[in-house]
Amino acid sequence: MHVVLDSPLVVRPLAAADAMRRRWLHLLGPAARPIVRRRELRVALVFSALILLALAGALLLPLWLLLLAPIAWGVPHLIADLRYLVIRSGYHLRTRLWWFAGGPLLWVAVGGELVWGFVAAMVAAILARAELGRRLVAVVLLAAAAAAVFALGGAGDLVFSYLHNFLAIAFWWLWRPRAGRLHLLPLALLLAAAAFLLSPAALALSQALGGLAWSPASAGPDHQLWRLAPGLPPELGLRLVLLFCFSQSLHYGVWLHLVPDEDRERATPPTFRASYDFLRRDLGDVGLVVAALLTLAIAAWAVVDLAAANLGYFRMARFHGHLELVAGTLLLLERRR
Amino acid sequence: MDRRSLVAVVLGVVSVACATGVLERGPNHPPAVVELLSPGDSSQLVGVVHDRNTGHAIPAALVIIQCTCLAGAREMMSNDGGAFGFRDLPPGKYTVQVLFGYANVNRTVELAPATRMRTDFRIDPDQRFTITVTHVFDLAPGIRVRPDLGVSAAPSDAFT
Repeated sequence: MHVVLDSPLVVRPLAAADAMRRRWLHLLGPAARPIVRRRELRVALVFSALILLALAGALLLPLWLLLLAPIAWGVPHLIADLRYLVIRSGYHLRTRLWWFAGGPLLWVAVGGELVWGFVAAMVAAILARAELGRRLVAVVLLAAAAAAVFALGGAGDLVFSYLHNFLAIAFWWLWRPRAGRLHLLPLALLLAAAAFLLSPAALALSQALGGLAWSPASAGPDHQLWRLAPGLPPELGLRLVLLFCFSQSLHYGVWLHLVPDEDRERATPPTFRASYDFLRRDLGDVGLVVAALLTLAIAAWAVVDLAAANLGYFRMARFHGHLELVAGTLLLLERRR
Repeated sequence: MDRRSLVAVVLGVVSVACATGVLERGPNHPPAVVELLSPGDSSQLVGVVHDRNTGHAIPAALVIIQCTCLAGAREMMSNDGGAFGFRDLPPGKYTVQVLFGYANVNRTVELAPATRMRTDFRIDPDQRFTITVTHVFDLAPGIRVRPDLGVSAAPSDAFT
């Protein structure tokens, strides 16, 4: 395993990327220093850029993005989910969580009803290292949420999938205590972008730009309308499709870039080589190889059959929204105040 | 192999099994969606037939609807996009049957007045069930089925 992971084929591109970044920073000169040294500023700028990019993508090519983004970033973001929510948080060392919360989550993963994900979160709340009163409040709130999702049926699952995209942003917000107010800049931008996408103006703009006309054969506007906004009037439904596309891109961006940046102890960004070594340390050599093989397998499948690969990815990922709910419950309950 | 590596391998295998649909149970059709039409309009039953393994639309699947409110069954083939649509339907309890390849899937839906119901199907064209008769029962006076007689039949929701 070491032979593969330390081979020049893996290490040299990382060294080249580091050299390119050093050169780029050298060219930028003093202007780049605050961005490198101040995490608050860097994260605020990167998140704002991400929001603008996701907004442009949602308006210009939403239907392609809905299909391709899970293929490109889906598996890496699942790995990031497991890395930051389970391994880095240390929950993987707690045997009772494995058995009692992991069981219902595994059931969801292999095709069980999504309501079992809420059962996993309730169990996690019971097992959390927090005062009894807070744990009971969490269990009651989760039970109410589960009852609402169960009562809504398919619509409840859909609402949950919309909310889970924004759950990532809540994780980013809560990941580290905030010293300044710079993080409010991307949050304000996010609210403005989401409000714009829900307005008729965004749909009109997307249509004027031809965004909805450019679609893969297997997933046109009608398909996404029925998938993401079934039973709603078409105009409102398409606005929700745009919002989902936007929030899905942000969801991936948050897990793959912002949370890793916030998680580090040092405020300055590490080299690509150091990031790779940290990833190996967290996942282990076998885990890293398995993750890489899954990512490549989904990409190769997409080359052969894009629609089937997309469906396959979502089958694989159906547990992760509730994994985020379980970890979020634990993080909130066990957070030092 | 240490414990962490073992967990990684198990998660990888489960992920592959999930992605390929090996672990899916039953037809797992998307829920039916109802839209209200103008009062006085006749009802409609529409949908799309998909391959549950690939997600692709299935053209030329035979879709049959039956209801005591209809004089006889109505049938049509799904189009190139896998879509089917029955219009001018009276309200009632309908059985929608989809036949394609080895798949024979039934779904019962209640169609209200002045509504358009979309009911999609996710079928496995290669799925084949063998149902073995284990009890002796009378089919009609004088006709009996022997318990050791195996009967092959195409799958239906009732058997999944």
